[in-house]
Amino acid sequence: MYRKHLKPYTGAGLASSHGKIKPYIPSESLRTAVELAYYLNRPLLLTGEPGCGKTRLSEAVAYEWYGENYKQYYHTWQIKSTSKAKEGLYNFDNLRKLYDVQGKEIKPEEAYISLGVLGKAFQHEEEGKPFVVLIDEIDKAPIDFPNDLLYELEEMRFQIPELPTDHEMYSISANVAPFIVITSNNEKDLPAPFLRRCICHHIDFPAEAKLREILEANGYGQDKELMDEGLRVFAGIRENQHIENKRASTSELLDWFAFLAYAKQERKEDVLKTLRAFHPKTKTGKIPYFQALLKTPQDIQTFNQNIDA
Amino acid sequence: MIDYPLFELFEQCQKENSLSINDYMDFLHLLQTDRVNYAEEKNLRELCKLLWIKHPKRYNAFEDSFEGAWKQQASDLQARLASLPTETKTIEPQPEPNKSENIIPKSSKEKPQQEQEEESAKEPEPTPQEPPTPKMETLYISLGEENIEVQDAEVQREEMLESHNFLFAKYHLTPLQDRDIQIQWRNFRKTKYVADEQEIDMDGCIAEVSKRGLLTRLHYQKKAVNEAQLITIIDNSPSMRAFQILAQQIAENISKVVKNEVYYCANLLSQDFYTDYAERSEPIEQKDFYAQVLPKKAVLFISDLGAVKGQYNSHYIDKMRQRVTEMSAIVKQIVCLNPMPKARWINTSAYYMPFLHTWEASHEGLKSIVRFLK
Repeated sequence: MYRKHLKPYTGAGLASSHGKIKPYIPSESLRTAVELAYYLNRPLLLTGEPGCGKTRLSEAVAYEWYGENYKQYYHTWQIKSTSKAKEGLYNFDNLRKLYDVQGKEIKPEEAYISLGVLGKAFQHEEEGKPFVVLIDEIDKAPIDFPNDLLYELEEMRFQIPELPTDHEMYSISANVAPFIVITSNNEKDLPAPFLRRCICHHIDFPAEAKLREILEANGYGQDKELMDEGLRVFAGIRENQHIENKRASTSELLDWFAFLAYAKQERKEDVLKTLRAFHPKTKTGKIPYFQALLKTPQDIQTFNQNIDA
Repeated sequence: MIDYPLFELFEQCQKENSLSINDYMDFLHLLQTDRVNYAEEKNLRELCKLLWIKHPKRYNAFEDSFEGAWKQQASDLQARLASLPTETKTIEPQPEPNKSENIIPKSSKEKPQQEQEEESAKEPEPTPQEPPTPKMETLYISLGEENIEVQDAEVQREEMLESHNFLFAKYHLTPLQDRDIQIQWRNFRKTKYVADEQEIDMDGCIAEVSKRGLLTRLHYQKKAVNEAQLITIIDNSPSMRAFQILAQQIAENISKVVKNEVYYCANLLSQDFYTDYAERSEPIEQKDFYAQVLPKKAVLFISDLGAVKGQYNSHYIDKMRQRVTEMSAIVKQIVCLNPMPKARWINTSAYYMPFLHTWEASHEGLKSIVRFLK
């Protein structure tokens, strides 16, 4: 039921921007959630605003555990509104079999089976090195989707009824249980039996100190003035955006800073002057490259950033 | 006898979060590992939150409950922990050279000396601050007969959200999203397999060809039809004017997923029913409506039942009782969806109609209605 060993997750390995993937700085509570979910052998369900880092956590965990070869142990499953739970386990190609039978070509049954993300993860046999599986945006799926995965997530096995019961692939069990990270934007409530089986963690929007740490890790720490002014404007924008609307997120902050730094260094634009002239409370002044932060017409109007005005 | 720590807190969390006893067993198991220090409130709080709280909207309520439980049990928590069975299971780290971290950071005394020195040299981290809530104009709200002035409309709305579980959608016009309505009402469908009607069973045909190599005959299966039918009656009296958009949104989205006919009338006491809000269509008389439209169908009545006016009218209640009794004899079931928040029903006619099953127009209300109708 519980794993024999703990696989710690510190988040320290990615604090600098010299790694193969973008830096990811988890909070202490998030690190605890990862370790707890791993040890208790339960999926980790992450919720939070769009752009807060839910999807990136799984990649960061895989990178910390497996280094540059992490992609061998990392699989993702992007859920869509048409997704079915069975797709993550396996697919039996009935049409191909029909075609082969008509052409009198006899192939073994397993030739028509292709394993999905979870199916491949269950077949992994390297002890102590579980796959990291990301099931992204599960709330987009149809209403029955989470319930259809309950048994497989609990028991870590599934059956392929298209095969004879004595076939070796009829029942597939996880040799090394994968570490499953599930993300949800809370567009829809997930069923209680599904939630019960998960360790649930909500990623809050980081405080200013954490945002600074994130910016420094991404290489924007050298220009302190730009960082101070940028964070001031960003905080002002968030404060004045309606809580029910889409608010500027961490990923948008990073995109914005990327272009601010480029504009300052390569184009020699005086972005600092423009930033200093913007006052969030009175909403006067221009926000440089506001398109990276303000995504709705209401926000653009609220902050008086109409291009044509 | 073993005294289980924080079990009362677990029981409080259990109902709201649909936990099982295994969740408490996991908690006990983690307490018994000797590499963690749960004497610290912060660590214990974090652990309980991760294990027992399944939705961020319940975090605030959990914080209050935990604080109460901690104050009660802090003094004897150590004794309770010590009374647990002595078999301890050490969580061993993965055998790799550079990993030796605990699940939960232990107290500073047990950290290596170098880390302690580094920590003491560092400045203390600033405590994370919540972003300040935007200030809005002062707003008066009416709860029954009291007028309460609130300083901050945002605070007021947060409290309403928590107390009434009233989800405001991003449109700011209606409290429900289209998708939410459709998802809930999809569960109202009742599939019946019609013996006389048949459709081709594609899977069966392909399976036969796969096994035998040829198709000897077409395979058929019974046709599945949805037999659940709904009549939606929208109250178009003047008090419901503000809720017409919401009522029509609900009716339109229900129609997308189930067989639904929409009618309009004033207060359900009217003699005529219309197929449009403005009452320009041909009116259907009450006796025809009862005889031809209603029989054996479920009825959803969208009305404030007098809650908007904030008044109690015994005459109206008696009339409604009579009308609902008449309709109940003809229809399968009749329920009401009230767009006013439940807190506003108190001391109004809406509050005194137990003969009509009524829910507020929220996510939970829709869910309960569909469950009731099924």
